[in-house]
Amino acid sequence: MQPITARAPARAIEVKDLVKAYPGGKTALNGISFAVDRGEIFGFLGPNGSGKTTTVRILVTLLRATSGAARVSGFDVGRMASRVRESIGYTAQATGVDDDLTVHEHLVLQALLHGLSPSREQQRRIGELIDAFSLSDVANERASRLSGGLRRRLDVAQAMVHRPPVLFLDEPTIGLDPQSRGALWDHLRRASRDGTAIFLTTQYLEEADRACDRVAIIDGGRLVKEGTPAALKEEVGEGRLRLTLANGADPARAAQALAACPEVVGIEPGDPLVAYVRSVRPSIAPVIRRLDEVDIRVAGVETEQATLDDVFLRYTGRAPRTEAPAANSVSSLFAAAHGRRRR
Amino acid sequence: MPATVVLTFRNLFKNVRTPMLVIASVAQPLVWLVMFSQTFSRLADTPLLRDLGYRSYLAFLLPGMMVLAVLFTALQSGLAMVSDIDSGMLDKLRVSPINRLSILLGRVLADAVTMLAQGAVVLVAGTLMGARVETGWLGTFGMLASVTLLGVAWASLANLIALRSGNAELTMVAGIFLALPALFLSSAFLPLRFQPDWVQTVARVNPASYVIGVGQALMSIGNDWGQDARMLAVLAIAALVLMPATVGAFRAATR
Repeated sequence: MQPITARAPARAIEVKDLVKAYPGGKTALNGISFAVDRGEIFGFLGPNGSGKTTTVRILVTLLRATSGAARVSGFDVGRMASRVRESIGYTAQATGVDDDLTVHEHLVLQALLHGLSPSREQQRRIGELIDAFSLSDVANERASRLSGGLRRRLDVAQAMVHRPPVLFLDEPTIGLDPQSRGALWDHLRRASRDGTAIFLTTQYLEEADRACDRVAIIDGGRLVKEGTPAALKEEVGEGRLRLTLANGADPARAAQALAACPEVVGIEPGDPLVAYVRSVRPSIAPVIRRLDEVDIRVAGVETEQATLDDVFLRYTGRAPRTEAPAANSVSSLFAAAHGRRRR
Repeated sequence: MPATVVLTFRNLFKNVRTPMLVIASVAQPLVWLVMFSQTFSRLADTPLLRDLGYRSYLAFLLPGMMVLAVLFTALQSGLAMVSDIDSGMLDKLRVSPINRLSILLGRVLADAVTMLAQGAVVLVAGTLMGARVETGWLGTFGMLASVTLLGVAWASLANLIALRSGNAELTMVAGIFLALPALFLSSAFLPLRFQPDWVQTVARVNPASYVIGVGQALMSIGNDWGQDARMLAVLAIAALVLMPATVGAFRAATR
């Protein structure tokens, strides 16, 4: 971690060797380190129970770390918790919404709790947020009458009322329909352009892929990989060839043959056989030719672009949760369990 | 605006939004007031009662029913705390740059305002039924203030249970389980001297009994400073025991 001086503005989030062990002996975080800059959207990816929420709760001062250092806006989350609270906005997985208050009242309450006077400027800010999150139709409705998606949008709007320089969103898009999800991302991107650092957790890889500047994959309380979505995908190859072998071919022998092929960076044995390749189209011919050399005929080829799912699977050995149950990751999990793919 | 004031208003807003809760907690003592004052009138409105200085059974019953109203509001205060824990609202408040104790203080202040209003409603209803506060405005104020103090102490207990258990059902059951003995093991329905020795003994450690006793005196007999001082001492002891315990539970729940 770089020394923090008055001259060099602190990074938005700095985490070093963070450990959280619970009294029962369960270790939720096993020494994680990362940093997030101003204006950056940082996605924290991981399966359930991997330590995502624990990390967020430590960073927003709701939970104390066992050891390690964490600073938000340059303030230590343990020793300077009140300064941290002044500079953050936070939405939890369970939305913190009061059923008896209206949408507008929630935003006013949040502003008042941050010591903002109910000035005209503040009212304008609240009006802007209501518009931006498409809440104008329900501005005077009680939260108990809002749908799950509206509650979620209200929750995120609340977290942004006081223009916090750092925003923490724990699974912000769960339960949102695609349209609200798009609107939310638009708003988050705008905030990040204005310099807001955004730390979010998600299980939706495809979403992190499109919207995050950088992602980190967490599994079992450890950061297993960190980088831009593009860089991470490059490591697993640009895409896949899904090869259906002709009757009687031995998939194991085919896999062996392909291992020697320079275009192929990884193989998932089975039928169809999946070959991870550096670039998709140019490798089709060499791969088929290579199999032909060992007398294995290919009955069909399908091509697929790599997604973060592949990265995730590579580094955690598990498929992430995806939106559609029939998506690739689930079928690859099925393949891992049963040795063949469901089509 | 200080966070305590903001949160007091937020909690009061909630009460206004669900007026059924407030109405129910006032309706219950009113129903009891009507029922008991009518069904017991032959039995209790006797020269025996008047010899002790009480004007009527209605006047005698009124302070106990004011206490009943605030005991239910105290129970709701605990339930509201559980609901804030469950909804994530408490976490939201914890990451706001406010003194965390203002979360608790805002709740107690809102409770106090609600209890004052409820005590007043029951008192007015009693007056409409024909009771009169013999000690005038000062006595009226004294009754409302002491009932509210008891209610706040009781709300502290309900919040203690709520924070330690985090469980709405348990908070509810414990609240009702404790409220009824607080009422019945006191002079709320009959003068203590007409009750068995053991009830008189228990009443001596029951803060509600002291508040009800003072209220009954203020309704009919007149102010007794010695009695007032004993009540304040008992309430102070209750506060000294309960408040640190509740604040401790709050700190433990929000660490």
